[in-house]
Amino acid sequence: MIVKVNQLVKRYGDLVAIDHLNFDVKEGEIFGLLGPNGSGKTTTINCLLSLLKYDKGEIELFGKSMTPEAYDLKRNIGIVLQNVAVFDELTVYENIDYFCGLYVSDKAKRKTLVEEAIDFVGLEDYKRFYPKKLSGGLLRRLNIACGIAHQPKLIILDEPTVAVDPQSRNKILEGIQELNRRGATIIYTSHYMEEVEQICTRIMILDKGRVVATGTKEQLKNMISVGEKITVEAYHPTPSQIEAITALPNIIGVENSGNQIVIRSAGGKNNLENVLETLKREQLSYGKIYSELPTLNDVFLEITGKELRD
Amino acid sequence: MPVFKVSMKILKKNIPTFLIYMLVFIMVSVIATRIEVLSGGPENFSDTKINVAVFNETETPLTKSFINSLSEVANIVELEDTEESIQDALYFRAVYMIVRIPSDFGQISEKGEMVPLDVMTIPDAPETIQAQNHINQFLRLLSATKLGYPELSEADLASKVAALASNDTVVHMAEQAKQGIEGDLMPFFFNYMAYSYMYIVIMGVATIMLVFGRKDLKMRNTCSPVTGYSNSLQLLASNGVFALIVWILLLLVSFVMDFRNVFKLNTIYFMINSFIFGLSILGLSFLIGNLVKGKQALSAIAGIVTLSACFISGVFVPQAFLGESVLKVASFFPTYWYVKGNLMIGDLTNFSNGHLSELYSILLIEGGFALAFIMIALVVGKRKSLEKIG
Repeated sequence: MIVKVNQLVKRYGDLVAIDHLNFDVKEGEIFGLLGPNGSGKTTTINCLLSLLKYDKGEIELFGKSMTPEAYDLKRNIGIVLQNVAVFDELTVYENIDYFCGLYVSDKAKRKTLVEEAIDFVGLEDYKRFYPKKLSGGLLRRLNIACGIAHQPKLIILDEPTVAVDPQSRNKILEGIQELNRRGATIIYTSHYMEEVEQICTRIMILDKGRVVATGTKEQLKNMISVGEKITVEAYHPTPSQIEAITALPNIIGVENSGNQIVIRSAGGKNNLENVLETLKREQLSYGKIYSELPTLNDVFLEITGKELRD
Repeated sequence: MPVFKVSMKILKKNIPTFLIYMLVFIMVSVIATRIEVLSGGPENFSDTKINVAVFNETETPLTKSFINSLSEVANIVELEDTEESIQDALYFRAVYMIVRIPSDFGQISEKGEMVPLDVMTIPDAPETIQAQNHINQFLRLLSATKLGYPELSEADLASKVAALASNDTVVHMAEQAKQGIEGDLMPFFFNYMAYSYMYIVIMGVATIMLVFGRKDLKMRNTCSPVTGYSNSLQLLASNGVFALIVWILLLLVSFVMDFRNVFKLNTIYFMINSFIFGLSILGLSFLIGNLVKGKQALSAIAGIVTLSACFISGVFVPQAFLGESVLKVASFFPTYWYVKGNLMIGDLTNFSNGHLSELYSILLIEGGFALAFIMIALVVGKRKSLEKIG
């Protein structure tokens, strides 16, 4: 076990930021911490890194208790914080060299590692640039390079794609998967469910400092009743037409908003086919039809009764 | 030593700013030096003679000798011997002294005393003191010679007194006295250096501390395996190197400004004093850097601390002109002891341990300030690093 958190509690006065949190991360995993803003993701990360004192609980990294003085453990951790933490006074190369130098004292070895990190995040053309000259996406990449250059066994990324353009985001997500393929265990926090769904092998959903659900994305989706969501653009369907759709097998809910019908099914096969046949039989003219499998947002919605991005 | 190296790089990036401070300091120093030279120091002192009118009622070898002797310290001018003319001359300061030599000058009166000279001067005019002393000395010599050699003729008596009056006494100064510095420029320069040195070092050190004190960078560094102790030591080392470089540059400027005193022992002590003062500034800067949060605030605080400390400690206004209570407050600043040390070094002509003991105490006090500031800064830094981040 790379990370083991047991009964972690963190309070800010009367506010309980983390409420008896339990989780563990196995070697080789990309472990996702998903939750809306203020759910306790960053607080959890700060406690993991001993940047914050916590009120109760235990944290073990690599089988040893994590404390502010556990420098041997820190040597194996790579950290990419939510805010870009680089020196404006140093170039891209110098920044990566500095952060790598905090872990690796051998100059020759460090040079190789820094070059590798630059290649990895695709900043070869920006080595001599100062951070102020970089775009938001490039800055994020620099931030990641600074965190991973020393090739740590455990990499913690706290919302590394906030305010990043889609192109850079994809590049960053691909990079994280590549780091994992190279052997690093990763803890990834985000409030973007698509990202977490895309890269994480196991996900923990947090809300108000509590664990809502933990598992692989499939396990999480199986926890909820919704199996498929079909959306039909239709102009003022009659009550009998809606009734006919509701009567179909596996259908657990139909919402009619006048020009759109949202049909939720509880798994099963041929749901879309059945809906199309019913629309034809009921002579209901329709426009576009979408069929979506449940997302983590649906999981969050069903468990907490609110949207993930509320 | 990654923290040390990055600190040096940050300083390197700020070199233009520090150069501006340095240039301003050099310019002010050059101007001050010119003023010092133009105003003329004690070395440019020249003797001046006052105008004296002599009315000689009889011309004898003795009166001639007296007038010759008087002309060494006074310009003998001619004046009409009328009351109005004498009063006008004294009133308008055309003459400072009028000497009337009686016909029986050099004779012993019935009371056994030397017949007195009739001397009239401008009341309370200090310019006449030297001439009066000279006259008194001549009369004492005359009296003593007359008593000692009663057989001498008037001509011989006159030449004997003249010879005795012109005797010079050669004074040999102790060997160490030659080691004193020439002029006031060096003490002035080293005193004034406190201001620029303090400002530049505070700005430089606190700039580094501000960068490393940024919350995100601090968090990131805290996550690394570099211990807080090592981090502080590396910062202190880089700040120390910076203070040392500034010190050397300022010393070079002082050598260029006053080259004639470079090889004097006093200069070595000036250097030691300023070096120890530099350590205390380093500690103070480290403390300020740990407490200040923004660059604007830093600039303001550096200005206030530097100016106030320098002003009350006698950098701009001599300590002799400052009130006792002001000096009491100033004694809580290392600047006060630095200036005091400079004054003492400037006056040093004897470098025996007895003469230097007080200076050593001052240097120790400055060193104490340095140690105290650094310790407080390290404690504050440690406390701040333990503060909750979230």
